[in-house]
Amino acid sequence: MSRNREALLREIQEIQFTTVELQLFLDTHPENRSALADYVEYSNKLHDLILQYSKLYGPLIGFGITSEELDKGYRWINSWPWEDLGGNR
Amino acid sequence: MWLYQRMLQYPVKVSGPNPALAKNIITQYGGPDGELAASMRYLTQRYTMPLKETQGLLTDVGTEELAHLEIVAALVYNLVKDASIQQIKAAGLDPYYADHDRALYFVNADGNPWTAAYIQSKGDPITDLHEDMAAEQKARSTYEYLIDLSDDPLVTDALRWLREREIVHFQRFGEALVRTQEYLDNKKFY
Repeated sequence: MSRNREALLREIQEIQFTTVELQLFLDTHPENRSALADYVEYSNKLHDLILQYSKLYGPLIGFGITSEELDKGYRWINSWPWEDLGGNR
Repeated sequence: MWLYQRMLQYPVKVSGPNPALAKNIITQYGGPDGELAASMRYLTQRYTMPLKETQGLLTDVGTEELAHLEIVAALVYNLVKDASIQQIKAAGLDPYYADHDRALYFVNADGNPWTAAYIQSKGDPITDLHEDMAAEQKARSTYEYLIDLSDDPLVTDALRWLREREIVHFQRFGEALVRTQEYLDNKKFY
C-alpha cells in the first residue's frame, strides 16, 4: 500500500473513530446539542474523505457512492483489509 | 441490513509468524467473552428493549463488535499464515491445524467451539443490560490476560486499543441502564 494511500486511510480511520464514539454517546445522550453538532461536523468530514479515497483507490463502501469510483472497473475485490498489513516481517 | 466498509476499524500489524500467540488470541474470536459472543448478544437482545435509545445502542455496539471480530481475525490470520508446520507443532496449534489448516474458526483458546450458551437474552431489560455490562468487564479482563501473554509489541498495541473499547461500551451500557430504570420507574402509577 502506498504511503499516501495509507495516510489517507489512517485519517479516515481516525475521523470514523470519532463519529463512532459520538454515535454511541448520542445513543444515551440524544438531547446533547453540542455532541450532535460534533457528530454532524465529523460525519461531513468523514463523507468527504471517503469520497476522496474512493475516487483515488476504489470503493470503501459498496454500491458506487461516486460514479468516478466505478470508472476504472470493478475495484471492490482489490486488497481486502486483513491482507497487506505491513509490519516488520 | 448492514453495509460493509472495506477497512479495519483500527490499523493492526504483526511482527511475524507467532502461532503460540494466535492460539491464545483466537479466544477473542470464538471464546466465551470474545467478539462473536459480544456482537450476537447485543444484536439479539435489542428487539425487546423498551427504549429506542437502548435499541440504538445495542445495534451500534453490536455492529462495532463485528468490526472488532474482523480485527481479531486479521491478527490470528496474519500470525499463522506464514508459520511453518514445525512452528505450529511447537506452539501446540497442531490439533487446530488437523481440523482447520490455517483457516479461521470460532473456538476458545482450548479449542472448544463457540456456543450460544455463552450468551443470554432474557427479555427483562434490567437483566439484559446487567449481562451486557458484565460481558464488557469479562472482555476487558481477557484482553488484559492476552496483553500479559503477548510477546509481539505490534499485537499488544491492537490488544490495548480493543481493551479500551470495552471500557467505553461498559460506560454507555451503564448510562442505558440508568435511563431504562428511570423509564420503568415512571411507568408505575399508584
